Amino acid sequence: MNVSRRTLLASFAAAGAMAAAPAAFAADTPWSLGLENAPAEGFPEAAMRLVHGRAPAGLEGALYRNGPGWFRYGASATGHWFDGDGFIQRFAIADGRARHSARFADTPKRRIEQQRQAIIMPGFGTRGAPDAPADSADAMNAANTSVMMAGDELWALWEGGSPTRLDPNTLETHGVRPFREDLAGMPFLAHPKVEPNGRIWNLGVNGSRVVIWRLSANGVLEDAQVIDTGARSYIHDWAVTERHLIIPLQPWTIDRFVAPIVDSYTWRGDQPFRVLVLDKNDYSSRRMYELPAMFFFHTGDAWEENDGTIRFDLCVTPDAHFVTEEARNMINRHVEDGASAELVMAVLHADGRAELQRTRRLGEFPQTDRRRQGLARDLTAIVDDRGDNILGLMNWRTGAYESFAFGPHQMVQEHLFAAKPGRTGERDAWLIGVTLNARARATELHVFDVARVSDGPVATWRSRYMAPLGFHGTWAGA
Amino acid sequence: MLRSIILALALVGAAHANAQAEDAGQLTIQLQGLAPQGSVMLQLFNSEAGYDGGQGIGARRVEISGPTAEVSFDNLPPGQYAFRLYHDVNGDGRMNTNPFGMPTEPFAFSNNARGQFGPAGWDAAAFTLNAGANVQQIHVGAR
Repeated sequence: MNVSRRTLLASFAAAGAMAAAPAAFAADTPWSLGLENAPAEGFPEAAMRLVHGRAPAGLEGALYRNGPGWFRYGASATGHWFDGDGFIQRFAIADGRARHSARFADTPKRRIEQQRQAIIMPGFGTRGAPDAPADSADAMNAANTSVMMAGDELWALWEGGSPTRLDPNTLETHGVRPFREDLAGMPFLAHPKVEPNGRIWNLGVNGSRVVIWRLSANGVLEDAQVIDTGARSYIHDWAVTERHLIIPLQPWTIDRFVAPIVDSYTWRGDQPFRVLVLDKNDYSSRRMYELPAMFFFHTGDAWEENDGTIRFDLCVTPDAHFVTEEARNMINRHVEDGASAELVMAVLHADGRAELQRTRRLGEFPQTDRRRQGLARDLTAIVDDRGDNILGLMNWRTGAYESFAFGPHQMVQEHLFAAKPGRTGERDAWLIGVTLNARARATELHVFDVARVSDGPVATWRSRYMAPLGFHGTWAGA
Repeated sequence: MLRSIILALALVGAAHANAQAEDAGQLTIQLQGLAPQGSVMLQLFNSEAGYDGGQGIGARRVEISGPTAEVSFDNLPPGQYAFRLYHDVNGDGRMNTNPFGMPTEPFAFSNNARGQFGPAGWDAAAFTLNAGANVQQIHVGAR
């Protein structure tokens, strides 16, 4: 997430530099464009304008993105970036043309707040009104973190409650539906892992107790078991290999319960960063590894080598300062220059040793080729955090790092791998993602060829709309 | 004389009893939004201590066969009351929860009060019962 702060800072700096010039947006603080309320009615579907390159032949499908899109009613504001209402965007590409639409997830939280025109519900970093009807997880569900396809449904994901079901074409909300009646309201992380065969794995976290979800490719429950990790760590993301589930247990732990929830966690820098590895076929078969204390939100992906060594990449910061302080202050339009996340590779050896391989590459929102989820691969795309609004591509095998700088007026967001039809190579793919172009005050959709990232986008479409900064998305190829 | 006194006391007592009945309140709880199966279990309280400690002054179990149902209590002294209920949809005699302890069957409180991170408190659920008829309409739909 740090990348967004950095990106915002860079844009802010650019605005400062331009303040003396009569630039159209110089009087504003462009970084805050990413934290403004989206229109309550969303974005009616509209054609995007090709402003660079040409549409790649064979690129057909839809990029869905989710992120917080509503932050305040007058002076009544959320207490944290993570608590804005889920704003789901659809970028549909067909016949060389792109169309953009968006809608808010129609959650109980959003309904009551729209009705009362105030921030009412408690959230991750929001205290909420004293009379907020917060008597179930899904009453507070912001449906704002990611999206996934499950059969014919698009699910908007949060991490503390159920997936919210949407129509993938109209983005209309169809409420939550429990996987099974006795599992209603159980948490479901916003970072499910999908095996190449389509099977879906996910976690849901409640202190040291974690539910391990296993779903079929179309989202039907196959199994749900609760385990105890032995640590009350904050878990936002995790990883899988072909044979194992990898649950990082960082030393930011919940030892009490106060509102808002973020204040219930304590950073324990004297404790190790543990990694719990479970056998997919037998959760009682477990190994625990230890790495130095560090904080993370996101993993890239994991794989396992012939000798049993497990590797997974992740973006780490020295501590939890971003989530406890910076992401709060962003809502008040105050951006500070905290530590950037570094892309690192965790290596878990079969003999129980663990080590961290550093790259000095700063960035966040790591993405990998999802055809290779859990399998050996070379590449990780990141939103580079050096402040120049860069998309970066790390090659773990060669050590090479390619990048493309969008320029100071662009706020770069997560870019996803999209496979080229009929091709199987890891570089036989596009990277597709968005920027907020502060100068044009528009959201832009970019497509890169993975084999030539440093050449820049092969195609860029500009929307007539400007969406707030989002978190995560999914590519649904046609 | 003694006989007269006894008779007088008896009359006074009878008059007092009648007066009590005239001052008593009836509570009718109209339940709405029900799934048409199972039963609703309801517990009535007349103090904060009893409410917090689960010590009710009355309980009802009502079979549910349609979207609405009614529960009533008669001869209640006027005062502060609260009730709580859950809908035992699957009829297993308990309020079911998910593995993390969150209820998976509908529940509700008087005043349609809703709690924060737990049951509604006495302050939100308590209501004043007056002499005569009192009605609470409670929504018990799925959340």
